[in-house]
Amino acid sequence: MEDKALISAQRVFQTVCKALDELGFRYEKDEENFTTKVLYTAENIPCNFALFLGKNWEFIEIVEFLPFTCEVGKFIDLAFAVSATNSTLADGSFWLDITDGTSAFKLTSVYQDSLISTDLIKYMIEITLYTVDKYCEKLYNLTTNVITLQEYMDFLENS
Amino acid sequence: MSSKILKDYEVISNYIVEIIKAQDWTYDYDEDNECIYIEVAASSNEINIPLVMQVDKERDFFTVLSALPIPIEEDKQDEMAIAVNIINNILVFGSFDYNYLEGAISYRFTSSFRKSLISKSAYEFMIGIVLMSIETYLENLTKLAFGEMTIEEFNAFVQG
Repeated sequence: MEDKALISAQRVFQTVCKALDELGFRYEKDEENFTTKVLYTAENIPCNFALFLGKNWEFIEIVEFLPFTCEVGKFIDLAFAVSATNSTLADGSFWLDITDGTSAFKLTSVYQDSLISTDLIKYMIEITLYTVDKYCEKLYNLTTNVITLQEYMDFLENS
Repeated sequence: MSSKILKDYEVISNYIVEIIKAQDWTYDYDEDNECIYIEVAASSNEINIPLVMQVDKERDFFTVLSALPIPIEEDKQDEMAIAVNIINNILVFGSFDYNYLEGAISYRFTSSFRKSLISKSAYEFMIGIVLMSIETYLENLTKLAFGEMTIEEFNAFVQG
């Protein structure tokens, strides 16, 4: 990183950590790579998300992997479900990794030459947790044949 | 002489218009929905890329939507759903969204400005990255939709 970008990244990373502190999260931080990892539980299920800064471009990204893996036979259904879900979201997106069946949600904000508030970081965290919480169980149920794709789409339409 | 202190979303809207004008793009402003509509000629093919930009003052984010002109027949739905996931897996900014019930594929980018001072250069970067993201994948998504490319070939292109 150039000096200017490095100073900017250090400042934004401090803001990220301050936001996590204010929200009461315990986290691991890697100050050299501008990365934080947060472990938390939702309805007794261990979950985690990572907040990190881009290396080549000046952006903040939050990624939360969903706590299940999809079998190959359900790839098409899950691919339909997450891409249709994305079309209803205002911010952030899910994806299915067809190489290993994992799924995740991510959201980014650009901070080039900018002053980022803790409120913006809190927004990124809160919208990620809210969105994952809203869709995760239904997506899991889809991958385990508890609900059909049509039932998922009905849920999506009514939510 | 009085001067008006602009609200953050007004400053950002001005930035967006300045950026569009600097590129000599023609645009329409929809006052009711507070959206800016533009069409940008893609450099890689003859298709115009339609963009709808909005500074959402209720939710404090800047968003760009592009309804991509790709017709998707029923027998290509599975491949298109897989294709957008392959892209979204590696895409840093925005996402390609596909609702098979509506048969529509779109690109969507959002970046928050909540209680922050986001620079004009950041918005120039965002608009540039939106166009780059769409241009990178539009041609091959279209080929996939028309059966001119297999999903394996598409995957190899994305992983490229």
